[in-house]
Amino acid sequence: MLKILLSGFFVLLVGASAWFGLPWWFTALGGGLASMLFRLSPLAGFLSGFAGGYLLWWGAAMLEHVPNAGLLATRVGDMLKGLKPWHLLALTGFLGGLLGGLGGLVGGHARTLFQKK
Amino acid sequence: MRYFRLLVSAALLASLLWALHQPIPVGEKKFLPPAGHFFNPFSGFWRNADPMVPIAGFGTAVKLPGLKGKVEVVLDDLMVPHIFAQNLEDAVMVQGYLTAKDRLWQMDIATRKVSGRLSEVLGERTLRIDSMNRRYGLGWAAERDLESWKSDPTGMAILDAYAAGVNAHINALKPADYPIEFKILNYAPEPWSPLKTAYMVENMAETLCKREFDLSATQTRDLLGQEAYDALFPDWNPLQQPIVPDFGQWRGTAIAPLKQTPDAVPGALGLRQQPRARMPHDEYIDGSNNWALSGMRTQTGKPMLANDPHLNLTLPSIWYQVQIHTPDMNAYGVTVPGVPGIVIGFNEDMAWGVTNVSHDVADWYRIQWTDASKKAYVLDGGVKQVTYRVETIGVKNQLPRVDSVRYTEWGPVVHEHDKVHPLRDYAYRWLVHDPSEPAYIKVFLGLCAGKNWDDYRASVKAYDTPAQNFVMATRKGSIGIQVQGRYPLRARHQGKYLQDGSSSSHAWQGFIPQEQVPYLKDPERGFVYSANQHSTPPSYPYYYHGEFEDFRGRRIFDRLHHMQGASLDSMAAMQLDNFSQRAADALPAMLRLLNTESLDPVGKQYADALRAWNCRYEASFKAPVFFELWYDYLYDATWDELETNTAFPLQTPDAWRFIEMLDKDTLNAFFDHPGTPEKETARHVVHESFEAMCAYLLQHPQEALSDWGHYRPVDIKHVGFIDGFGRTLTQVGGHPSAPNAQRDVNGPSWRMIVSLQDSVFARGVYPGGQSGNPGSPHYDNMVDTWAAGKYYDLLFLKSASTAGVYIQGRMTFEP
Repeated sequence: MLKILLSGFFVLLVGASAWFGLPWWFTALGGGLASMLFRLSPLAGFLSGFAGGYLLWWGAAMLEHVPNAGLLATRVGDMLKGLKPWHLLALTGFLGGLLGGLGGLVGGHARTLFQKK
Repeated sequence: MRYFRLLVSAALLASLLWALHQPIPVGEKKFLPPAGHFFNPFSGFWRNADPMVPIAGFGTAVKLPGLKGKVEVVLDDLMVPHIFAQNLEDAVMVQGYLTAKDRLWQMDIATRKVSGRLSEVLGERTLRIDSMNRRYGLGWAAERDLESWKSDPTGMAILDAYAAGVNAHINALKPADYPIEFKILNYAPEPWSPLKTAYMVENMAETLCKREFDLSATQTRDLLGQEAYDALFPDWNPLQQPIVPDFGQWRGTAIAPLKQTPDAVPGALGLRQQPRARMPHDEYIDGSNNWALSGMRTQTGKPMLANDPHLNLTLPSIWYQVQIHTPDMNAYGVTVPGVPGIVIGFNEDMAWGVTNVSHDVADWYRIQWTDASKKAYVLDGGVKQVTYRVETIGVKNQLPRVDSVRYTEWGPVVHEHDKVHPLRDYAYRWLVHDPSEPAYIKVFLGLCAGKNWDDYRASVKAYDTPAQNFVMATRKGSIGIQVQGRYPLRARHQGKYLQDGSSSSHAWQGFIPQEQVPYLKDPERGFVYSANQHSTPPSYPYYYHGEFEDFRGRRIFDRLHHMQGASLDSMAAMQLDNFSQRAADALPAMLRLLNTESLDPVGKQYADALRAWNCRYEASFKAPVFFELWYDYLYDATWDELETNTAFPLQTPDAWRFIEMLDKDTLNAFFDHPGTPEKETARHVVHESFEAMCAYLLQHPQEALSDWGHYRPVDIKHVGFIDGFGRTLTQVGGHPSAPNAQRDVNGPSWRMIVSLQDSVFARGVYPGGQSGNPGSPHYDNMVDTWAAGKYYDLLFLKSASTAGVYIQGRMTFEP
């Protein structure tokens, strides 16, 4: 369990490099690397990647959203035919989670491949 | 199996990554940006969420290469920048930088619109707009203006400094910092240039001086005959007060006799393929009010000046407030993003403002092609080749479209699809195509530094299009107004109808000399004003025609005429005046002709409500709804002969002329419905249209119950029409025929009142905010203040070191 948590944290760190100009899909790369580094099964890799990715994307959005009192999210939600700010936050988190999770899944499968060799 | 699982999961991930990079189609030809780019919180839309409370001490030092000295900027609580520079170029460079910081996308999209480059980023759906703006020669006009400006080195230095400021901001941007619209439309900002400033000038010209009725006037005249046409469409409205009255100043003005030029042969309908199949005769033109009072009419004994330009209301707003301070000037006011200088504002000695002049400065000339290839046309008995301007319109995700536009001596051939007369087309002669004055770009900076009437006159004389009524007032006590612009010299009615383009002698016969442009300084009556009405009475020696306002000006004249002890509040009350002279003229006549006895109880209620109405379009009133419906039905029922003709566009008379008929000419043949055996009069039509209103309200109970504010909501749309980025207001009164000229999408875009007391004091408001970012608290923070009819005291600083609660931030710019 601790391993999964640490791995999720690792995904978050790698993904956060996007703040410094690296591509946003580094969250997926983080998921893959974490699965290998922490020797996770595909399922555990997916879960930790998803958790790390979700937390990162949702959290980073929250860092913008809260000081802005939801002003922009409300307007963007209106643009997207009546979505609410929490929809956008959840969607953002979900996209981050999916990236991290699928990265973790791929990493997990790749690792089992190497391990048997 | 393990390989298979790896492959499947890798394929899943790859699909996700692919999907997150694809634009998402929503509706026809519309796309949302790729979800990964847009939603990721590192560079996507979340990064455009500005904190509600500005971070203390934000915007430290900015390096701005090209500056000659240090520039200090104070930002007040409305985020208005107060620029303190050592010289004009530095000030303008920082103006460019800060305007770009707040309004970059607005600047980008406006220049794209004018230059026909919208489709590059918006795709096929804007192709028609791009094509038409190019065929009307807007880009050509901008290029010619810039060529002319290049002959004035100090003007070019200003344009270059402005562009350098904008570009310094753009160059420092990372994709995460792009305005949200760039992210939504998935493209990147481009460098600014002086040509783009010229595009912004053409943008205003397109809004303000492209209106003409040559085609519909010709067809209406041909249908009715000249005499009937002149009776319905007189040149002059005798109820109106012109901007500059005749006080003998034109007596003895000798002008060379002008030759009468022939119209195009009647029945030549070569413009039928106009983008609008029918030219709407819209009596409510984009307009504005301005006035200045001398000290004899104010509380302080010093002049006051007010201006409220009525334009499309958008978010971000068309205006951006700024203060510019240099050793030679200290001025405050509103600027047009993309253009250096202050268009409407004041300094420590003088205030100025503008309204549109509304003269017709565009004519259509018939071209006779020599053959179907349309390479040559008949001119002066010979044959003249066209020149081509090849327009290549980029279209997102598609091959570019190439359009070779034919240019004649007259100008571009805009429309080319006449099926009736395949060898005829019309060329567009538009004043805006003529190169502008070399010093044009310095006009609004000259005003910033002006101190008196002479300075003002010297500054505005380089201003040509779109012609504006420049009002002014000084602290020393002068007031004045000048109908400033370049105007074609035309014989009586020349260019009112389609013209014959086969002889160059049919051209404009020069321009009205600058010294003969009408102006009025320090009149005895103690005020000057304009509301887009006629510039001069018929005794002015030069002929012109145009689309002039007939009601607002009369109301403003009445109020100013009785004004004593004017204060900031009484000026505000005038700007917010919802009284309609049009309703005041029409309603008594309409009620007089209405047979109330034959109405049902509901109808009687409506009639009672109208009888009790004070002709004010207050948001909470119901009577304006009834009046508008009744009047519109009545107008349509009267002009059915002209309005139901869909074969070609016809003109219908101005409201004032129509009301005059209701009042004094109730048996006029136009009140008769041609299809019925009876001979209808105004009385019939008034009654019939009242019944039509009652029937409509019975079918639309919601509208029967709603007040004016809900019936005619004010829609402040986003510049790019993005849902959710605009505002809809249902508590705003006003009407285009009232001084508070509020239409659904168009209205007072800036309200300013300046008291030229010892220390100049001003109030102002516009329905928007300084920031163009929908994620900023300063995006629309002034909208509610504006809607409530309130103003801000404008913070007019004397020095950058001023401290105060209003000051929210400071920036310094260094080379």
